[in-house]
Amino acid sequence: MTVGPLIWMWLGLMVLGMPLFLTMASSCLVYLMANDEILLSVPQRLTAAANSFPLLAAPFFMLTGLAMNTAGITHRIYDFAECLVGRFRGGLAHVNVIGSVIFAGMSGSAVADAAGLGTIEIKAMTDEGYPRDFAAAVTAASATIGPIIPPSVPLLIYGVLADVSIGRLFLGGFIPGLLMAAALMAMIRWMAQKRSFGAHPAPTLREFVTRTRKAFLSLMTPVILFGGMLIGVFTPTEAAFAAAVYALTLGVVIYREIRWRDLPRIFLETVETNAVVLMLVMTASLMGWVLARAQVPQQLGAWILGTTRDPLYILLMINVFLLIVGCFMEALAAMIILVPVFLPVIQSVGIDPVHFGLVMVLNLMIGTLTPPVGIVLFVVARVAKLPFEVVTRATAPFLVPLIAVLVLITVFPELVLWLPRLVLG
Amino acid sequence: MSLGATSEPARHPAAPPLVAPLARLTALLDRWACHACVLLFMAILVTMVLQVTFRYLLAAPLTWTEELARYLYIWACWLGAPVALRRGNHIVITVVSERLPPRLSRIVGLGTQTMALFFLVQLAIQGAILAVRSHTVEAITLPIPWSMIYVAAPISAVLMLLETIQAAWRTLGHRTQEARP
Repeated sequence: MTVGPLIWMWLGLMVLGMPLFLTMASSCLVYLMANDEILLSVPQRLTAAANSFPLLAAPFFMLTGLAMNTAGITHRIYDFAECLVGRFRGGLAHVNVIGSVIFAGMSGSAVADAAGLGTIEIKAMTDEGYPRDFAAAVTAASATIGPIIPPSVPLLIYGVLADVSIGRLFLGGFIPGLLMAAALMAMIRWMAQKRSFGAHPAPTLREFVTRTRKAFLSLMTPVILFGGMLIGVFTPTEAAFAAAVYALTLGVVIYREIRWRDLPRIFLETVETNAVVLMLVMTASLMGWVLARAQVPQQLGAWILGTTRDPLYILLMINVFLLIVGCFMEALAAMIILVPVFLPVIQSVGIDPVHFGLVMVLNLMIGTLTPPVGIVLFVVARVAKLPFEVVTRATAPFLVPLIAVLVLITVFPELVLWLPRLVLG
Repeated sequence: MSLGATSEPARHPAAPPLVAPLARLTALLDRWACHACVLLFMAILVTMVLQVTFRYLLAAPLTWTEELARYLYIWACWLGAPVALRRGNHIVITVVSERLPPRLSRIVGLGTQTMALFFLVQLAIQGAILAVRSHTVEAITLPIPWSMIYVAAPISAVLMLLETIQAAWRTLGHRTQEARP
């Protein structure tokens, strides 16, 4: 059996509605059996993929996001964002973006952003007369900032796969994330003009101080997260652990919105969410291993390098490919399978793997906004109680600023690499 | 300890035989798995507290905390998978499958469930063999054999196997259109 049938079987099972991790696992199994390989490597490879201390940061990022959403911290962030940018035309849409930026500094997943903060944002916007589909679109588009501004589960997994410093990847995400926010806000400003959306009055100084004070302790979460990591004391896992403990302490002891007896439920949800992601990581890495044994990366690499050796041209080619893949595949699974495929090519033409990581993750995050498979669209459609098609259509215009930022960071690697070099040398 | 997420599967009056005992069994195993997940996560938290305290406050780092945290994490990943499977929380692409006519949808569902069963049986068998063979291999800093870690895979496989059998059985027994668990 060659790799061709393996890929077709996998795609077929995926389309037929089998859970994604089982599609990868079972098509790899059939391939290995057809080729008389030793099947012991299946449980062995799957377990080995989870046997990583850096990956342990993932459940802590998830726990932080969960604690924030449960403990009303999300509300405080929203109020704080409102007094920062509510006064601009299209006020609440800007608040939506800035809220996502702040939330992005604490949580590492677009889905947590869309489901938690998104619920508050969509309600606030529709209460004030914004069209529901517009509110949903802004929420979906701004949720993709979550995994670009650190912490980030996809960047963490990329770092583990590509053996790149996670600190560098995280720092590299700051500027692209802020660029995404700026681009989205420019787009909103323009749309607000056209559709004559209103604005909020500027907050009084007193209001500003009150809201900042109420949000202050929550806003310290990123400081705890990055402080220890950037001065080089904490490993990413320890930093993620510290931030999670801090967020839980805020919720349980200080704000008292989480009761002690809620904790087992929160832990169970963390383990469950983590298992969903890790099953993808484990089975996709089994698939990556199978593809590597069949020499797929070498053949693809030879083919690409036979076409061109220009780094920029290669990056643009990979970008177009990933945008297409992103329409049909879940982002994490695509990343885990494709990193080992592309990395050798990237490194052989001298592209910095940190730069490539950000390009790849941003690209695949845009893929969460494109049909037919757009995880963020699914979540937002559910939260906004709108049909998937309506949210998809409303979100489409926001793909333009996001793709513009993708092109920018692809063409100018310094946008990604400058900050890590400045801080970490 | 009460876990709110634990849900009883719906029992259908026209269900084929053995469905009720199977449903009781999976419900029981699920409750155990949920408790184990919570305990594992608390154990990870304690291990991390020890690691951070001893390294940064007492400046006397423990050698075994990192390895222990990794092994607990492997267990949490394997045991969390059947919990998520039962609640239908794994990522599924439904664009095509939800548009199929009910009859075809049930056939397709049974097909993918059979495929899943095929994989899970193999995972259980191979995982068990791997666990037995690795019984003599010791972990680096902990006095435990690798079989203790590898055995999580077949256990998870058996739990997912039972859930899948139950789901397939329900699809078979029902005349009505039903979402997969």
